[in-house]
Amino acid sequence: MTQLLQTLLSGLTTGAIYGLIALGFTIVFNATKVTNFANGDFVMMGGVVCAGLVTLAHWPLLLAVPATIVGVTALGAALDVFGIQRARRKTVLSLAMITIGFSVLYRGLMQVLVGRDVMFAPSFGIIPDIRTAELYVGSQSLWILLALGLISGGLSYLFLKTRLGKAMRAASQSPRAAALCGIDPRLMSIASFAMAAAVGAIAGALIAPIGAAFYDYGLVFGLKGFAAAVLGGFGSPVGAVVGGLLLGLMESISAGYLASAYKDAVALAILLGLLLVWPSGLFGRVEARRV
Amino acid sequence: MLALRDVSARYGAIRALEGVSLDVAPGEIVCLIGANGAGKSTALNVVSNVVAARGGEVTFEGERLLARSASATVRRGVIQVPEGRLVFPDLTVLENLEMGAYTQAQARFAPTLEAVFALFPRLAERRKQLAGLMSGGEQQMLAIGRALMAHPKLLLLDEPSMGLAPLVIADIFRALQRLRAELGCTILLVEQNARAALALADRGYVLANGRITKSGPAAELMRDSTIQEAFLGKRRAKASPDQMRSSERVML
Ligand SMILES: Nc1ncnc2c1ncn2[C@@H]1O[C@H](COP(=O)(O)OP(=O)(O)OP(=O)(O)O)[C@@H](O)[C@H]1O
Ligand SMILES: [Mg+2]
Repeated sequence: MTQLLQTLLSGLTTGAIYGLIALGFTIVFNATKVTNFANGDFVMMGGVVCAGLVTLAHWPLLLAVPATIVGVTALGAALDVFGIQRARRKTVLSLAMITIGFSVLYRGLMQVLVGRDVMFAPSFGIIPDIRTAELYVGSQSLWILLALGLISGGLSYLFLKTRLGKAMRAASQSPRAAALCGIDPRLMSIASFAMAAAVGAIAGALIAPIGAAFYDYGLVFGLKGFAAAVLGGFGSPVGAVVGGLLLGLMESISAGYLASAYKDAVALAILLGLLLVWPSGLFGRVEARRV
Repeated sequence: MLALRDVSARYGAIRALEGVSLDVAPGEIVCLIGANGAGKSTALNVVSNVVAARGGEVTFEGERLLARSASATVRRGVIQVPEGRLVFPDLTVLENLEMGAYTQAQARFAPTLEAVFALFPRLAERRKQLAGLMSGGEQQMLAIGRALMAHPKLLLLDEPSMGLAPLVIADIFRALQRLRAELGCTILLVEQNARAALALADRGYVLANGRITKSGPAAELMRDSTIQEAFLGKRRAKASPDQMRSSERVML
């Protein structure tokens, strides 16, 4: 029983990480309908830059984290300004290709700037570990869960209640009509990439102490976050969180009770099965269009 | 109020507008009629600055309008209701109207909303509904309502009758009449439905292959034999199966 509980708890932490990454996909998709394949690299850069500043440049964590967020946010905005906005033909495919190109670019940039070593950053601390006779939840896990709660709550509020968030959704649904309302679709697009990068940077800095930071981790982060976003229903912040947590739980249960070598395959199989039942994801809306 | 002088526009090699000049005076309803592909939508989009002109001059209240941003044009009070309505399908009716008021001060929102709801009571009933799930006529009311939220001085309407049943069209056109009477809107109306447009408008222009071929008081154009042949007679014969289909849909 306690083993199951402990398995679930560690799955929750992994799931929260996936949820944070999935939120990045959600933000960009909501404002542009673009699937951003560089999203995993935002997270990667968050970890690498933060760990690099702390271990190589010996910055205090309190300074390194905000600097990381600012830096990665700027790099994310650059993807929109120099990539997405410059696209001659804005088809789903060509825009996705641009994000893949930037993913490669980000990887190269991190290799050059920070190097090819696997790095760890110090834990954030402050929040104490939870320890009972049989259960253990680390402080960093609590930080991750807290961040997931705050960020997903903030994003739900943004997209459902604020004028800016609604304008971002409007711009993605009809750029022409948005422009005729006085909304600048390009501004909404930049804002969404910058926000996704900021969330990715936070996620990366939170993961670095327990999951390591390495220039090549972007792909794995991206795939797991993408799967979580699809599972929860692309575009819904709540869906991203639930999808992430569910994926993390499925993985840790299959790792705990089958073999850890199978955990990715088992999680993927369950994911595919669920999508057959709910094609638009758990919280995905069937698009409101009359035919 | 609005003046186009010798305006040209093209898409790659396609010449959409060639030397178009037209005027709209304050308080007027002016219609621009023409066949498919004549360049009507292009003309409105040039004024709204969502399509770039190749040459010519557009002025609004004496100020140059060309080469501004779309949002600067909206802020000057030139608001377009686009062809095909383009409501935001996954936003509610109320959220669509909020987007219309994007450039306006928050304090003006409530009274403006009330005025729009008074004009289109149906929108008030459906305020929580997703716009994409509304009927064509309701979506057209929403598109017009969304434009009104921005306090237009000049309203540009692109084929508001498209795909609607005759009864619904009559409703929409009555609303346009009230807009001028009650809110003092000036209107530039693009239509293929020449009969309805000329009945409503004070003056009209005829656009063919990107050029203005005729202009004058609406009553005069209505009597013009070439226009009767090109738009009024033919239009009726061609449109009837289509209109039957759309009236069926509204009844469903
Ligand atoms: N985005 C575009 N790219 C290329 N050509 C275009 C584009 N938009 C319009 N055109 C062409 O420009 C010409 C004028 O088009 P426009 O849409 O202004 O006509 P319209 O009078 O509004 O027609 P309709 O009554 O069918 O709406 C047409 O020949 C059309 O094919
Ligand atoms: Mg048109």
